[in-house]
Order: sequence, then C-alpha cells, then structure tokens
Amino acid sequence: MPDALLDIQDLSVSFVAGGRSLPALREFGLTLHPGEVVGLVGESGSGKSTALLAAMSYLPDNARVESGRILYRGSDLLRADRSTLDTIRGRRIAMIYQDPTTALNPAMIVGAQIAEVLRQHLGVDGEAARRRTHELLRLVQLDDPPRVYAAYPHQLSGGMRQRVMIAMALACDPDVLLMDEPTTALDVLVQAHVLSLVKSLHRQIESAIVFVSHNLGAVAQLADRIGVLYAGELVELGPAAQILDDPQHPYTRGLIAAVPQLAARRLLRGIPGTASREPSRFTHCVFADRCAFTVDRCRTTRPPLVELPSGGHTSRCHFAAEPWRIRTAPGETAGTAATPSVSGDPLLEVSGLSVEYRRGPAFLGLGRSRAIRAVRDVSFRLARQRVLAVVGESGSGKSTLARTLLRLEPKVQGQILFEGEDINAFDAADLRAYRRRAQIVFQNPTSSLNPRKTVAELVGRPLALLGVTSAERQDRVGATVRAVGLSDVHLDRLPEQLSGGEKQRVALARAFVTEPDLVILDEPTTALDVSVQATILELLLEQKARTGCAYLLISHDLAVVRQVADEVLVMRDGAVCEGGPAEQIFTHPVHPYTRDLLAAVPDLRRPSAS
Amino acid sequence: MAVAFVARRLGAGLISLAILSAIIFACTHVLPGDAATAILGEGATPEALAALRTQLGLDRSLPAQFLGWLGGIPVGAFGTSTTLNQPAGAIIAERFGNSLALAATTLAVATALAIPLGVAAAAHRGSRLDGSILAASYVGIAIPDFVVAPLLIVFLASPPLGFLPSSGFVPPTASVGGWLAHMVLPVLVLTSLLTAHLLRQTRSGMLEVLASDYVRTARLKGLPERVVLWRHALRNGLTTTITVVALDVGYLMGSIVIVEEIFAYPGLGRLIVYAVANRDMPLVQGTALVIGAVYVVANVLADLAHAALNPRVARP
Amino acid sequence: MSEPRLAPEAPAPRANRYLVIGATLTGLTLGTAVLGLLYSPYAPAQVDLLHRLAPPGAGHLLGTDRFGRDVLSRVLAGGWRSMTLGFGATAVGLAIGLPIALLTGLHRGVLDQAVMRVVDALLSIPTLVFALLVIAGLGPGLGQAVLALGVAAAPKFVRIVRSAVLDAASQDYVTAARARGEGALYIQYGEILPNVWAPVIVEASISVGFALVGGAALSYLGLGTQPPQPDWGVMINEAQKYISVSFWPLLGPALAICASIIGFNLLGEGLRDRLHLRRSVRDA
Repeated sequence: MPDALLDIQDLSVSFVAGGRSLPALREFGLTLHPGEVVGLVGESGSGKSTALLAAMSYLPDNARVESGRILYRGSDLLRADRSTLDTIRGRRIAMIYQDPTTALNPAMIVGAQIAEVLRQHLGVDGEAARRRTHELLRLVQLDDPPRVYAAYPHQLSGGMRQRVMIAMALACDPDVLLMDEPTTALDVLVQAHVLSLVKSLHRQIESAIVFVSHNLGAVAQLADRIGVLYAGELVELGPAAQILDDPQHPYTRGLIAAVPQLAARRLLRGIPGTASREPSRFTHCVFADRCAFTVDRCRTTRPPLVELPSGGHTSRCHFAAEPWRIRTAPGETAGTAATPSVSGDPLLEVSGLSVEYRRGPAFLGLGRSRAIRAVRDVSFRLARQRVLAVVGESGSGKSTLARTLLRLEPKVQGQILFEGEDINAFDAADLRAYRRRAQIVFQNPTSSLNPRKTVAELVGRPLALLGVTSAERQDRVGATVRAVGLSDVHLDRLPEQLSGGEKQRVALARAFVTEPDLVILDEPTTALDVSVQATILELLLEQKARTGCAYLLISHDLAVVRQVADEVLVMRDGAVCEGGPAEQIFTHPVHPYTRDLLAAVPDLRRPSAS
Repeated sequence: MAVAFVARRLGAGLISLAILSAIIFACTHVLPGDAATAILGEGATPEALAALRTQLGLDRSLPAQFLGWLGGIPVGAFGTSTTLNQPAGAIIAERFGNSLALAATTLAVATALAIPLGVAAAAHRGSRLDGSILAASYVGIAIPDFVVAPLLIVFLASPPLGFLPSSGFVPPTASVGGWLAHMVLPVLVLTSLLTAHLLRQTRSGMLEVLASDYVRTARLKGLPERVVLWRHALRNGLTTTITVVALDVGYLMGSIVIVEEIFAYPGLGRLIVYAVANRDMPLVQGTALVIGAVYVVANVLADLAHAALNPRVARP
Repeated sequence: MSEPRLAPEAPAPRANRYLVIGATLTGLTLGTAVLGLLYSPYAPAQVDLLHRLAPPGAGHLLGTDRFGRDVLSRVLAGGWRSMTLGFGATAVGLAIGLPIALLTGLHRGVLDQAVMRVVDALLSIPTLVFALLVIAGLGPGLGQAVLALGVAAAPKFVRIVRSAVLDAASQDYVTAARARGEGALYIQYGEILPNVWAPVIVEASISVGFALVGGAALSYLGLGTQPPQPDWGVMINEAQKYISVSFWPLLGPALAICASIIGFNLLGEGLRDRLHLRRSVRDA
C-alpha cells in the first residue's frame, strides 16, 4: 500500500448507555493516502461522526473501542496517551467542525485563537505569529485580515467564522484534515463559496482530506473516493466516479435514487423503513430489512467485504460479485414522476403583502426601536392542485409569509384573498372555518409535536376543535394515519418513540385530517434524511392527487423544489426577486440572485476538470 | 453606547428599589394589625389611640403615608422607631456597618474557597476528589445555620477550649482584637453555608463550559488540558460565577439574620428580628429596605461587571 | 476528555443513587411525622424533673431536655408541624406562582414585563426576611408561618416555571396550536403545562426541604410555632442554652431537620437527572 498516511483498521466502537452496549461502528476500515480526498457519506445513525472523532482519539467517556487500530506514522492513536496526542492534534491532524458559531471561543478574539495553534506547535510567537495568521486569513479569502484578527466570533458572519476555522486548521500544514459537515450549518450561497474555497485550497495544499457529510452532492464535488456508511457499517468504498455512476451496493443505489437533482424532474424513490439500531444487527446484513433484493441469506449471515474486479472498490453485499442482481428492482421504472398538475381555480390570491416588526431595546416599552420589514409588497396566486414553492435563504421572509396566511402575524398590510374573501376581515366563525381548510406543517417534527401527547391525540385534536364526535374522530384519525403510511400500532405511541420520518408523517396526518384545501409546508423535509425525504415527498404528491388540495411549499432546497413545484417564487430580504412557472425558472432564470442560487446547488454529476 | 447601557441598568436598579419599597410598605401596612394598639396595648383608651395615630401619621391615607416614608429615605430619615423612640435611620446606620463587616468577610473567604474547589471538582469530574467535594457541599447545605452555630459554640466557645467569645460585640474603636474575635464564629458559620452553595454552582457552571464545543476545539487543537482549562474554560466560566456570587448575596443576607440572633451580634439581622417580634413597623420597613437594597446594588454591580467582561455586550 | 453530545445520554449511576437515598430519607422523615401523630413513647409535654438533661439510656432513646421531657417523643410529635411548614409553604408558593408563570410566559407584553419587574424586586428580599415581613403584619404562629414562607417562595417558582414555559412556548407545537385557533387557556394548561410538570416537581421537592428549614428557623426565632408546643426549631432554641451540659436535646431535632433537607434535596436532584433535565447555573 503506497505510503498510507492514516490507516484505520477494523475499528469497532460501542457506547454504553443505561447498562446496555450500543454498537455505533463495526469493523470500519479506511486507508488515507497523501493528497487524496475521501468523502464519507451517511445518514443519521450511520456512525460517520464517530469515525471522525475516533480518528482524533476523542471519544466520550462512555465509548468503548471494541477492536481496531488507527495507525498514524506507525503509532496507534487509540492507544496513545494525552501528551502524544497533543503533539499530533492540531499539528498533523486537524479538524473542522459543523457549527462554527459554537466551535469558537466567544470570549477570545479570533486571531488569538489561530495564533495559539502556531505558538503551541511551531513555537512561533508575537509579531511572527500575527503575520502568519494574517497570511492564513488571506489564504481563506478573508479581506482585511487585521480587522478579522481583532474581531470576536460574534462580530463575524457564519461564512467568515467557518473560514476562520479552516484557517485555524491549516495553520500548521497538517497532513490530514478532517471535516465534519463543514457546510451544513451555512446558508446555501455561503455553502457554495466555502465548498469552492475548500476545492481551491486542496489544489494548493498537500493535506489529505476526509470530508464527512450527509449531502451526497457536496461530497461528489470534492471527493476522489467515496465511502458509504449505513447503520455503523461501511457498505461501500471506491472511486467517486464509479460509486456515483454505477454503485455496487443496494443502499448506495437507493441513496442516489433518493437524492433530488436540479437537472430535471424524475422519479424520486425513497427507501422505506428506518435504519436499524438493534445491537444485534451485525449478525446479518444491516440493510436487509429495507433492501429490495433481500433473500434469506441476507437475513442470517453478515456479508463479507467483497473486493470488486475493477480494483480499489469494495462492497459489503452478498451479491457484490453479481452486480446484475441488484440493478433492477422489481417494479422499478424510469420516467418522470410528479406529472404537471392541471391548472385549477385560483384558491389564494395575495397582493401587496407586507409585514413589519419592531425590534429594539425593550426597556419598559421606552427607547428607540427599529422597524424591520420582513415581507415587502409580495403578490402571487395559487390555484387548486398546484404547488407553489417559495425559495430563499434564511432571512428572506419566506417563513413570515407562510405565517401571515394563517393569521399568525399581527401587523399585516395588503390583501390575502381565500376563495375571494379577505382572511384578515374574517370574524370568529369564518376564521374557524378557514382554519379547517388551511393547515400548516412545520420543519422540525420533534418541535411541532407535543411530546406529552399520543399520536391519536395529536391527529385527533383538530377534529375535536371542530366538534367532531369521539366515535367519528376515531374513524377518521385511523384512516388518516393509515393514509400517511403508519399503522394502528402507532396510535398510542408518544413522539419520542417514533423516528424522524414517522414523526413527520404524524405531522402530515394532523394537517390532512380536516381535509384542507390549502396546506402550507414549511421546509417539511429539511430535517429528514435524504432517503426518508423522498418517501415524504411521494406521500405529499399522492395526497394532492387524491384530494385536489394546493400546497405552498417553503424551502431553501432548490433540488427538492425542482421535483415537486409547479410555480416558484424567489425571495430575498422580504421581497420577490423573480417568480413564474417552475420549468422556466429552472431552465431560464432571469434575476442574478436566482442564477446564483441555482449555481450553488451541488450536483451529483462529477465536475469537469476546471 | 456603553453609557446608555450603564444608564439603563442603573435605571432598572432604581425601579427595582422603588418596587421593593412599595412591597415592603404594603406588607407592613396592608396586613391586619394596628401599630397604635400594638404599642399602647389592648387596654388603651380610644382617645389615646387616636392621639398616637395622629402623632405617627397613621390617620393619613395609605399612599400619603407611603410617599411620606419614601420621601424621607434619600435623606436617611426612616421614620421613628416606635419601641425605642429614636430615629430609625440612626439605629439602622449603626448596625449596618457591623453587618457589612460580617458579609464582606464571609464573601471574601467563601469565594476564595469555593471557586478553586468548584473548578477542581469540575475538572476532575467523577473522581474521588469530585465525590468528596460534592459530599462536603451537601453537608454544608444540609446543616442549617442554627445547628452549626451551637455546635461551634460547644467546641470553640465553651470549656475546655473556649478561646472564642460565644456572643456579643466589641466595636473596633475599643479593641480591634476583641472586634475580630467576636466576628470569628459568626463568619465561620456563614462561610460554611455560603461556600457549599457557591461551590455547587461554580462546579455546575464549569461542567457546562467543559462540555462546550469550543473546549472541544481547544483540546483538538492539541492544547494541553492545563491550557484548555485556564485559557479557554475559566475565562467563560468565571463570568457566570460573578452572576452567581451576586445571587448568593441574597442568600447570605438571609443567613445573617439567624446568625446574628444566635450570637447576639448587633447587626441588621438581629435588628429586624427584634423589630418584627415587637411590631415596630418603621424599623421593620427600614431594615428590610436596606437589606433588599444591598442585594439590588450587588446585582447591578454584577451585571455591569458581567457586561464588561462579555464581548458580546461590550463590543457588539 | 468528555464529549457528551456525541453519545446517547446515559442516566449516570449516581443519579439513581441520589434518588434512592433521597427517597429513603424523605420516607423516613415523613414516616416519623406520621408516626408522631399517632404515637410517641411518652406524652411530649410530660415533665420529669428528676431526669433532666439525661443522656440516652433506659426509657429515653434520645435523652431528655431541660424539663425532663423525652426528646424522642417531642421529635416525633413535632414532626407534623415541620412537614406542614414544608409542604404547606410549597403548596402556597405553587398555587400563586404557577398560574402567574403560565400566563405571563405565554403572553409576552407589557403585563409580563411589569410582573417580572415585581418578581425581580421580590427576589431581592431574602426568603427569610420576606417571611419576617409577612409575620410582622400577621403576627407569629404556625399558620402565619406557612403563609409567610409560601408567599416568600412564590417569586422563585414564578421565575423557574416561567423559564420552562418560555422553552415550551418557543416550540412549534405551540405555534401549531395557535394556527389551529386554540384558546389561550387551552394552550397554557393543555399544551404547555404537561411539559412543564417535570421541572416543577423537581423544584417543588427541593423547595419542601428549604421551606421546612425556613419554618424551623422562624420557630427558632420564636416567630413560628410558639413554645411549649413541640417543634424542631423551637427545640433547638431551647436546647442551645444548655448545650454545654448535654447536647442530646439538640441532636434529636437537628438530625431530623438535616435528614429532611438532605432527603428532599437528593430526591429533587435524583428526579432531575432521572427526568433528563438540564440544570441552569442559577439553581444549585
């Protein structure tokens, strides 16, 4: 093996919780070579963060390393003592974290936090350290290094903070850079900038990079090799081009099929079920219960890691050597999903909508306050059976807009006509009737479901408010719960007993149970895994086809919007930049901001040499 | 900008004091019990009662009485003590210095003990050191002052050891040695309680800091734990400690009441117990107000210090 | 090297120990109080001038006090008073504080600001001093002490419950409830309260312990239970003068009080860990 830089061998890690041992990673192996970029992709529970922190030998107190070694220049990091690790961390292996806001010390200026790495490892101090820090800040494309040096983290934007983290990691020219979801916490445009920064840096520096992300598109932009983690198991590892074009593991295939693409509308297929967390799952194939190609052997024997003939490509599947077996699933067809909806009567007409907030020192109501216009003069139309997507970054006003449609915002100017009537002029009875017909689904299912209520109570409450009798409620709740893909066993469960996808289904059931005409979806799939996202989108389209309702979809994810929207409204700083039929916005965007947003979406196709 | 912040904070403090005085006044006047009857006794004639009421100003309306009282405060006039027939303000002022001596000493000693111990416990969480420190703090909190005090009196102020006085007071002008000697036991009792309290809060604050992301970053930069603790953790942990110390001033003032009573130490605490027992309203009001004011001032100072140390507030 | 966020949270073994010890101690002290209502070896007021300040021995497990009264019997008989102070004050504090916290936590605005200012001002008076203020108006006595301590405890409950209410109110399920058109009362009591019980129970448990001690302190000062009624605080006061002769009359009530406060404190801490609550730095 030509000069392996970091060699992770057979790493198995479990966590001890409540007396039980919960395995998080099983026989994970990865060899990193100088200068290469390895992307580790996985959904929640895949163990990717554990693998990364293990590489720094920074595991929590209740973690047990069951087996394995992590070799760096001959020594096993897992068995090294703190003083040895202190010479390696930050100097030879450096890490970049997901949330730059919390990862920086709020009470120290940013420059000092970078300079202390130089002082600690390279003995560089004073003026020399300051100069070198300025150089680093320039390297990560930050203007005015002296100003940034003297700034506290809260005085910098999210993107700037992440650049500072990158500068800090690069300070000592490490051999290995570990990146844990470095762009996830950032806005879409900023994400693109940081990704391109990393790409250009990689060309300049010699470090090897391990890039962990749940976003396959981001990984595809950078990685030479890609490893796919599922439920603690490395199910596939190989050259990026091969993995993306012809994956050799059913989970990888499923994952790629579930990722929405900006290029065109196509059939989005999710992977039914949820990743198993059973401690005993490693006695057989971890993916068996969700795989479309499972046979008996998959459920009884753990598949070996098979080396594929193409070289440098492994897959943990019983059928890895017989790729034709896992290529086509029964009933799988290519083709467009989400057929364009027929245009219906206008349901919602909004004109001149503006919302203003007052923000300022609240000292007993005295003192100056600033007026913030969250929504500025927005107008649009939504017809039945149509999907209108409102896209924008954070602060664009899209969520505020959604709330005005349910009369959740107090200071609203403009007109909102529902079937020709102004909702702001409704009296109590009209409002009640309106609230039956317009529902909302929130982004975070953990936060939107009251943790103390059972599924039956949650879904039944909107009906109870309408005065529906208990018997009829039971019927309708049962029917709706089944319609969203859950079953009667879920009725008595509490939210904490459900997975993320199941919780969101409950939120959908709660919205659908009153048979609404308008459903507002505020980032309904953002908090979910990609494979689950696709199933929820499928569900939403089914429901629309069946009931003829209309959707107002709020999202920052243009790829998702591409798959389902009929019309698109692009918002920025509260105002509409551009609006029109989806096909047009995606293929011929006019406004530069729209163009920037579209360009920022990381594509699964490999970038051409540029 | 800083000036505006300070002004706002001082203003808030003044408002707190105003509300405080209103509440104190309400407690002592709105509840049943007539001061005149309390002073003259049940057998007094209606004329005598009426005369006394006029003399005490009790025949005015409540708001008028309140404003009258409030108006006198800035000049130190708290009304006249009904049992001692002296200006309440003078009595309170005399005692205030004594209580302040106790409080300041206790605060200094407790902080000096609790903060290092709390930090050490957090840094070695789960170890035996941590366990014993925690256990000691539980003991400190659990045993009330009126149990610790008699025990200390038995051991240190009675034969056979008996080298400390068990009660009383000697002004520093008469004998510094005597003054200090009479303070030792009360301070010991107060310190044991306050240290335990402060210790637990410091420990819990430090644990939170040590679990934060930026401490993780510091460790993964290859900084030795000593540096992580001193340069990264403490800086953030200590700003919280300031808030905590200010909160504990209130706790301290409460304990002072009992401790002064036990040791017959002439301070505000003993005064308020006497005043309540004898229903001497002007004295009750005045003392309660001063005690509350100490807390308000401590908190304002703590807020200002906290803001000065917190870059998010100092440099937005 | 700890990094708790990465791993699934494990209820630390020490938490269960706290819970067990706390529950045992509180059970013991409660049991003592209940027993005291029904039985004691001697009548608590029974005087025996021949055996004053006697150490523990035949017939007197905890010795006798300065009037020859059996210390154990008086501890048993006085138990219910301390429990009344502890539980009564907590109940009063909750009854006042909970509705205020629910109302103001949900409807931020001028009323909320005003109420919080008053609460902050109240919190600047130490609990004991506040209780003394109320007693100044009401006069001394057990019932008055319960009321005084309860009113003094209310601001603390308002602050703690309100913080839990604010947490809950920021969750989307409250917005969802508003979007459905739910009424204010339903949102406070039907949506938020069920999520706020946990911190309330923890604080209430700890509060019982402190109220009990506060009550004993008031009695010690002569402003709570009036002697010669048996009461742990009163007993300590009486025992203090003769402590150089015999500390047994002090030990009985002192042990009872310490056991109570440790018990309720540990119970609260154990419950807090068991219910997976994050603690704020402000409360120890």
